[in-house]
Amino acid sequence: MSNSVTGWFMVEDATERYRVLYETVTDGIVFIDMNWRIVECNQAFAGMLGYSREELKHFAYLDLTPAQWRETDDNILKEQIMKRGYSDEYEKQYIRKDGTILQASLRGWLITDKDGLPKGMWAVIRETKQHKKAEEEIRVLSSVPRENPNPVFRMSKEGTILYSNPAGLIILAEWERQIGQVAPDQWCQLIHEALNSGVKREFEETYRDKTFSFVFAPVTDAGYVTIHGQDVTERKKVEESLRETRDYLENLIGYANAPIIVWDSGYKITRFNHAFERLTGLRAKEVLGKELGILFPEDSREKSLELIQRTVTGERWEVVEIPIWRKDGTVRMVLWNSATLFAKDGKTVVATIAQGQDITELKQRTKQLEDAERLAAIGQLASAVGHEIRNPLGVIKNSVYFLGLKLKDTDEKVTKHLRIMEKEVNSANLIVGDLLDFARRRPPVLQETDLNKILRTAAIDSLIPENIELVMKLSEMPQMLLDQEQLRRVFLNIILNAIQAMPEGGKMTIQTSRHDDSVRIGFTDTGVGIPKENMPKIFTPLFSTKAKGIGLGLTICKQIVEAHDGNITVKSKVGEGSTFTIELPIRLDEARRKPTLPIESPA
Amino acid sequence: MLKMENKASVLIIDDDIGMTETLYDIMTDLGYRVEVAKDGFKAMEKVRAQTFDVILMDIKMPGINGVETIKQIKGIRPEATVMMMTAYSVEDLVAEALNEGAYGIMYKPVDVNQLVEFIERVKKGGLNPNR
Repeated sequence: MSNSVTGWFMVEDATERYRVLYETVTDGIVFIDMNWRIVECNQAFAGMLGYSREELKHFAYLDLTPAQWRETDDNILKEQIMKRGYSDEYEKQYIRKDGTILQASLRGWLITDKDGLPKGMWAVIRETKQHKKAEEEIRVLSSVPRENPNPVFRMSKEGTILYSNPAGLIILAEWERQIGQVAPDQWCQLIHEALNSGVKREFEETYRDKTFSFVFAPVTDAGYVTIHGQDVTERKKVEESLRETRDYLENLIGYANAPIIVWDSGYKITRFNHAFERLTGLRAKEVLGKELGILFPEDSREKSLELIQRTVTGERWEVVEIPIWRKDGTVRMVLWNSATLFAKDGKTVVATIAQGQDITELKQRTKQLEDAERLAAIGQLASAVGHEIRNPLGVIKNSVYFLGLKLKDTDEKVTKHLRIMEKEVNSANLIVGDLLDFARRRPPVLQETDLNKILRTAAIDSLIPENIELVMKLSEMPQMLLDQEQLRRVFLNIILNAIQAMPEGGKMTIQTSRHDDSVRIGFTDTGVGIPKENMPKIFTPLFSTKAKGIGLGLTICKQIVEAHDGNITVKSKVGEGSTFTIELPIRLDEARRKPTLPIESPA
Repeated sequence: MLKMENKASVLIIDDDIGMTETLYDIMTDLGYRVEVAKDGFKAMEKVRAQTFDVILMDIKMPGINGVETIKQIKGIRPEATVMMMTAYSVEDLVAEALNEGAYGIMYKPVDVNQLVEFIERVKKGGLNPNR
């Protein structure tokens, strides 16, 4: 530039001097003929509009001018240029090659021929600086939506699409609409609502496999709405997958067979699944929000809570057994394992989830199995010992019998002692019999039997003391297939127990009744009764509350009754007495008959 | 005391000497003619030598047991009335013995009164013919 300026003064030839000036000036200079055709322009003018000088030659000047400015140009020409040969400086707009608007100020002059007739015009055009700056800003700003991968629209209050960024064109294509056309009805409605209320509207729509969320932001002053779309397809997928996972877990917990419970850091129950409802007999709505402690029986509550406290403090809870209350008052033993859920910080306990397994039956079975094994061992020993003791007992009994024969007329005391010996041998033999019956379950030898007769025999054999009133209410019984001896032992056993339960005397009622395909035999005493805690144990081997006795009597009764496909039950109230009820099926099953044995000494 | 010839003859077979001795004393005291054998072999000698109204035999004995012995006894004397005795629950042996013709089974300790009643019934011929 400095060269050119220096050159300016060096140029002697005036024509050349003006040419240099014309080419280097930063204002645009354009020559136009009277038909508004561009004859020539300088580089500055072409540059402002984004054209080359060649392109602009013979270009219709009016084509560079937005329609609304043409009238201005015409007026200036008529009123100023044609009248006085030049115009005032005035503002107008040009359209650049890229379609954008150039704001400029200019002044025009008339060119005349030798005869003074108008031949053309020329103008000096200067881009408005302030406008240039603002436009730059807009260009930068507009590049933001242009580069935005999400759709951005501007729409007029009537719903006309004023602008769409490249990402929005995909949606316009879906609509088969273009900029300048009107958006779909629903959009127009939302635009209307947004502008009227001045509040943003949100709206979701799916195009092909993509879901967009659109925010309609009203620009009330300008009377249009800017719409920002966001591709929420992935977010939707994640949400859906989360929802599915949540539903799945929800169902898993809800319908799992294992009792599952969740409590918060304040030990308040927050979840209680169906299996837990079944376990406890409590409904979820009865326990949700309540203290965890309500689930535990009083006597183990403190211990259980202490155990749980350690889980909440993050200490690992190994599998533990915790007893749980049932609504009906019973207690279930439950095996628990748990997991503690922490907040994002990894320290704050949010909740504890615990899964239980009801092992009440398992424990019972295990205990029964252990008992059975123990008893089997005892039984083997008892059986061996019992059999061997029977032989010497038999010999002693014979000796006593012999002495009885020989000492028939001896003094009373000797006779009494012989009776004592015989009685004791018999009772020792009864104990051995119990042991053997228990150790080795003899299958019943079935014979057609009169049940009432067995009952009468047993009642006689039991030598009921005088202070006990015996009432027999015997209904007519069918002939039944039974092992007489075994049932006599059962009845005898129950009657003897009843007698022992009434040391001060009382009433013993024996009742039989016939039902469709079974008979029932009831033994009711007015004795001391059985304490509630002993009820589950009375048929258990080796359970006895008596000072004497090994606790096999009722066990054997149960064994025998069950071997006859019957059952034995008991009802009792302390201080009022007990009722044992035996139910036996009526049947005459020939296949089960065995050769009958004519004589048996009481085993 | 009744005359000997009117009283029943009884053979007691048992390896338990206490049992044979006491039963022998009781039975003889009651006037029965009693023989004793401590095993099956000795018993067969006695059975061959004479008839007995009642044979009382333990079912479990060393050597040949009661079941085997009753088979042999019945081979020689099919009409013999044999009552088995046992202290054990040996249902299979009992069933076998009954099968071989034993009249019945008495469990030890034996009720002597019941035994005597039985012998008297046999002597009078009052047994159930089916048995």
